[in-house]
Amino acid sequence: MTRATDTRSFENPAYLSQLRRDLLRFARLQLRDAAAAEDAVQEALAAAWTQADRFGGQSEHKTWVFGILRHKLIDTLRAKQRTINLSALEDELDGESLLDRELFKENGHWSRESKPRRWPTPETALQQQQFWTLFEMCLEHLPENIGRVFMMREFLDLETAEICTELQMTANHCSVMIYRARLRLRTCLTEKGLSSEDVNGEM
Amino acid sequence: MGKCKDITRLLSDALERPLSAGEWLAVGVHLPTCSGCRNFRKHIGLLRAASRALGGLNDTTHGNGDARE
Repeated sequence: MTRATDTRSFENPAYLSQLRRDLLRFARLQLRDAAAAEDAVQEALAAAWTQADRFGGQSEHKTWVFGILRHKLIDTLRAKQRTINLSALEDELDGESLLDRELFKENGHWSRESKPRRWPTPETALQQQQFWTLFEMCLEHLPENIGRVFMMREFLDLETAEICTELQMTANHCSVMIYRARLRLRTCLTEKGLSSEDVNGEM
Repeated sequence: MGKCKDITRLLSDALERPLSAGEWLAVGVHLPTCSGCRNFRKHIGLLRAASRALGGLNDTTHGNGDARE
């Protein structure tokens, strides 16, 4: 991996094209709109280029550019739609009770087939291309609003309280949606085949 | 003993806010007896680490949760 610690990063074409790919992937997942993602990335890169003298090198260059993109994405989301459509949200949450019936027995404990098994450690998983392919696929499969709240929290790094205020939802609604996203993501990743090779995992 | 359905919700909330003493107790009593929920907790820790890595954030010590043992 390229170690970029100063403004010369922009003069390294290999680093720049990889960075652009990473930024695009991130923006596309967040906006679910390829053209809007392209625009946001373009603007972020342009801003990073013109403000290059402000990059102090205290963080990694990549982290700094992602920070600029994150602000662009927050602006884009704010411009697009301020609140969540409550009836669409109710529909999504109705769908969630179906999933619950698959995952949990009537007494509220894991059903035999869906009880979470061991996964690779983060150190291992994050190094695997296969993990990233599955992770993106599963993020795209999240119901719209649930995905939106989850990514505002985990991608845009907004606090739960900010998200609730922004979308005019109760704190409880917000945390339910983040929980549902996590439950769905880990169910999806498991169904798509993420598992630990280690047969001595916790049973 | 708590139900897995409720405990998983608390484990998720623990990444968002400090749990109350009663909530911690429920989790603390449940986890030693349930490998499914122990694994769930590790899984959501990985989800957070992956999300942050995807967004160019390097540190994985974020928020007030302790999804990683």
